[in-house]
Amino acid sequence: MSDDLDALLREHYRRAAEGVQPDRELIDRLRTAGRPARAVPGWPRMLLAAAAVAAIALLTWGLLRPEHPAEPSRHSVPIAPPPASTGPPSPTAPPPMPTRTRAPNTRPVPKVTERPTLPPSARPTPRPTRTVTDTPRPAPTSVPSSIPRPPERR
Amino acid sequence: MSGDDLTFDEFVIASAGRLLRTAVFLVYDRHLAEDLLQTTYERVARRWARILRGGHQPEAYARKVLVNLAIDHHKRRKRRPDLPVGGTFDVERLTGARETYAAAGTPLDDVLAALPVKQRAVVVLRYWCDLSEQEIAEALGISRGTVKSHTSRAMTALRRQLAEEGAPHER
Repeated sequence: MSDDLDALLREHYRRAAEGVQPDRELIDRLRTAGRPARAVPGWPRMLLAAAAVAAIALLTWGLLRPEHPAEPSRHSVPIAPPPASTGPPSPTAPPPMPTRTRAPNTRPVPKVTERPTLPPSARPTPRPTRTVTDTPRPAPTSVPSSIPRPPERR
Repeated sequence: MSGDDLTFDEFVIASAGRLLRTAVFLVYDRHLAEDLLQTTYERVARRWARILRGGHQPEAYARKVLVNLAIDHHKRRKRRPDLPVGGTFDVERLTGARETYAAAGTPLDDVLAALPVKQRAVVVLRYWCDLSEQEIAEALGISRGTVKSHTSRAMTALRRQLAEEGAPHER
């Protein structure tokens, strides 16, 4: 029975195959089907695409990166002076006084080592100390302004 | 069909007929078979140099690609039968102008077309392509034992269907 079925199937496929013939049009279609794929291999295209993606990523990273490191240094510089500049008047002068006394006591050794290593970013830190040192001066200047008055009494 | 001097065009001319018949027996639709065959040759062309360099038989490689494309297509259709994939086959199938090959319509064809796709593939590879169990296993990416079980189930179904229809011999 199995041999009969085997023979039946073989005969069936053999006879059916006679009715399935590829025409000229199909052969041409199949021949041209492989041409674009063989003309340009896959790996150069992939390499080109990868290079393009890498270039775009590098470009965007390069455009975005300079803004971030610059911002903190710029912000740190202007933020510190304004309190100092607004400070000189008599009401703001007292708060800087305690910070002045604390800073020199706690930071003596680390700041000396940090300043030479960080030339641009370390400079802003001395500025507040200068402005702070300027802040007491207005007070004495206010005193001399009152001093000339006695001569008027003469 | 091997040799370093074999060009892709020569390979197509030499193998198109056999592979087209294999495709038709697998899917029972001429247009779909042509579409699958075109995809097969595209894939073979992409790996043409590697196939020749590796000493592989181009037709065996193409047959393997074709059979697996047919199985994948059947699975896709089964998952989403209402979704047209595109191509002339789908348009004609939807409009009812489906064309099958000349010998279709015999009781044996109906039984073969009703087999599960992997069982049908095993039968085609065995009785049309004359492949051994080992070659069928390699083509389908399954074990030899699975090939045996698919063959056994297919033959049982064929015998039962033919006995029920009372037409074991179509001659």
